[in-house]
Amino acid sequence: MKGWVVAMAAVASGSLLQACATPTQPAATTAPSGTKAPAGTQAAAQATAAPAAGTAKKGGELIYATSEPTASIEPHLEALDARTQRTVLIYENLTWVDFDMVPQPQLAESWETPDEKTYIFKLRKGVKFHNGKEMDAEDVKYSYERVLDPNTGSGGRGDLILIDKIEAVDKYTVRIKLKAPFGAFLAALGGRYNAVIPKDFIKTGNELRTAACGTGPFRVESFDANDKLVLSKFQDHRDKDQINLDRLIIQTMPDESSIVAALRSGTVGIAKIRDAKNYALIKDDKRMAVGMNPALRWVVLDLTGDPAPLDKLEFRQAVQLSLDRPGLFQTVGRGLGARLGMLPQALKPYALKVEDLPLQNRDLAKAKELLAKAGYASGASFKVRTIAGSSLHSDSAQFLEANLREAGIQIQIEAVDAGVWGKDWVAGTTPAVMNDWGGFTDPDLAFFRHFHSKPDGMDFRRFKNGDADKLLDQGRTTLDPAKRKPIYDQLQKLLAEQSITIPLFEQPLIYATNTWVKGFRSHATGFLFGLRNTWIDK
Amino acid sequence: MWRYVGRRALAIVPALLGLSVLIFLMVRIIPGTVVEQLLGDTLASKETIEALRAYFGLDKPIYVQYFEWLGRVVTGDLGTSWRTGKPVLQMISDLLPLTGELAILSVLVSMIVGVSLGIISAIKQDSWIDNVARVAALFGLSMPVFWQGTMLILIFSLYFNWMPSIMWVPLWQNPVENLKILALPAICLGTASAASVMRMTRSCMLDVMRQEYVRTARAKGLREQTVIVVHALRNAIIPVITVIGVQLGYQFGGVVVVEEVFTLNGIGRLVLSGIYQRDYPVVQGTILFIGVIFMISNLLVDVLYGFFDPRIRYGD
Repeated sequence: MKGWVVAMAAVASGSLLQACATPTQPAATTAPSGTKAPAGTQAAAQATAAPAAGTAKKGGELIYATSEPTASIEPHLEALDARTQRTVLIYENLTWVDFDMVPQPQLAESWETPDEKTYIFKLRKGVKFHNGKEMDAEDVKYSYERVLDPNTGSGGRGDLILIDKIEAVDKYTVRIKLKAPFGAFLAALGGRYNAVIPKDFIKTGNELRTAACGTGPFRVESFDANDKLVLSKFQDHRDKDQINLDRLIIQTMPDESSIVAALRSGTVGIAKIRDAKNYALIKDDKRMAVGMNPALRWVVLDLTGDPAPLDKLEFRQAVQLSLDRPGLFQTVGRGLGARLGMLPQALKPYALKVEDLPLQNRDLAKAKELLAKAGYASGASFKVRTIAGSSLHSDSAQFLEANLREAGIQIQIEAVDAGVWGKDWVAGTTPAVMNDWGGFTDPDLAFFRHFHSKPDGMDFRRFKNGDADKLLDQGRTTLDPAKRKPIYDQLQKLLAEQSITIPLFEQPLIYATNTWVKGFRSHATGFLFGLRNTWIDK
Repeated sequence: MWRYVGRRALAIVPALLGLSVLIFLMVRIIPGTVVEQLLGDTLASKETIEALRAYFGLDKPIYVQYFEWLGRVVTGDLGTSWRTGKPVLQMISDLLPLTGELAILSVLVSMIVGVSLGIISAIKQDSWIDNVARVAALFGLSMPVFWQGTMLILIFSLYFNWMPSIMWVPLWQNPVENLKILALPAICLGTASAASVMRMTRSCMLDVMRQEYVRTARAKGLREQTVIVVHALRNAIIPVITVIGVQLGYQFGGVVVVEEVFTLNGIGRLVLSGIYQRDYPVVQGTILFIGVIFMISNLLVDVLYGFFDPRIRYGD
């Protein structure tokens, strides 16, 4: 924990050194029924993305390197996080979730909610697509209907599933009717799949896989799957004065050692580092600033509601109490990131602290007591599946195996291909697994699909818990953030108590920037909103 | 000779058919399909999943899928990538200049290094030079290419603050920049195979130099240089050509790791990403293409045999 605090302080002081101004985030919220969101907050919100020293210099070409490739840049179809990381620079949604995880207007200028199931969005006027066409209400309707169409096969359909009807009231007004109130609707609209594209742009279905037509600050010059995405500044963007780079190249470099070498030689200006070993290698390099940032990503031991012995609550609780989570964080996590309760701290204000949740600290005596209560006094065993090739999974599983053995619980670690892991996970037939997941900007988006019983949720872990369903339904249909907070507090406590998912530690987002790269800001989702205002000082 | 070449070329056809069946089945043995990859773990209805399976033709029996694919392949259509929407043949031809050049350069490196070290080692048999060269060859054979590549990158960036550009430049646009980019990967790939070329050259040279005609040449008073280059090497090089020729084919398949390490967007990375993304048309098309290259390079080696050794007659 200490390491995380120190690292965060270092990052904070680093950004202070770079900062000329860090304006307060505008407090647009999920507007309660009958209220209006403040108009024009989007420009202000996005302007805060550039806490940089001195006056931003215009022009230049920057190479951003990452080891995460994407096969396509199709905004409605490609499921990879790596795709969304890039496409937030090309496309825009009606809303976006800002650096403080608060939904803000993006292509919408403002919205009204005359009743709990109706949203009326006023669109910005004069917004241009990269092909020169003006964006209007028909484009918004077309885009979201495309995501909703089962034949499109978009993974974003689930985010919009509560939409009943989308109407283009006039050129700059869109009315969306929901089937039921949806507290995370504005965050869902700002989600990874919901980019607005020009109406009737799609003819064959392949148009947006390797090319793009959005309204974002950068337009696509070229895209080579698994190699690079070359972007140039969109001169007709409404915030063009705040977009500093002329050209931005997002280069996929599969081997992270090559990324480190390219950073050192100055070939690459900024890069995302995923391997803690590489972080250790460059953290003291004077030529670059290496920052650890909070992320919406966490490592978990996921249990299941069946078969025996996991079907016994006391057994699952004994498992949770046997784990030395601080030890795991320091060894496997190398102390990078933080311990967490049920949600990462980046998802403020919802995330409860570890000390506010039950069963978070190791207590072998209590674990053995619970095992006896569950009828497994002489011990029991279960299978834990890992993804072959993931050292994070295998190292964590081995550490936990030693922990559990001390309590008399045996686990068989089974490493499988990512395809097998994913197939059984989605089908709901998975055994207990090591998992790392996240990227959700709202507790509903994080929890509903995972823990609500079928058919409304996916209930991957066969949890089937009526109390959780009730809380999830309440959280989903409550619009006032102040009222949602206690509901999700209760849910987090319930999930911790039920020990169906055992979060172990949260992983940070590590970015290394050469000293001549200024103004980059990390977004907890890992999406590259922060490159919008980055500039080069050399 | 042409009848021989024709017969060999015909023999490629059943081999390719066998390869096509193997690739087709193997890629489908890997659990998970493009549909799961596309949808991730998002809330997708059964209809959505079925619609996508039908869109990609995965709902049909496997033999129907195979014959439909094969039917297109024989007309020269390798299909369209499920992830990028681009024709596979175009994707391969876009990346071929890079991978082809890298394979050729690495074969050149292995020839220059392997043949010269092999000759020196044979001439100076059991001397310290021979011993060093043999140990170096052993080292070269046992050193994994990815480790060698990573070391080269780290050494150059750490001590020389230099790294080749990650922006690919074709040979015809800027030859110097192009060779700068490919130098390290070609050395990395070339030295690994130079080891086997060196060992083969050395043993062939030793064998030839013990032959009576070499002794006769020396007895006639020819210069040692002439004896080695004109008499010994000319005969010793024939088996070495086989090794080098086969290596050209291997390099096409073996570039995968080097392309990953050196961030080169070539055919190797195309196959790898195709596998990760369960993009069957890309994997099938590209591996079939590499198979064709491998078989053609083997055929060329056989034909070149006759060129280097006129005693060899083909059964026509």
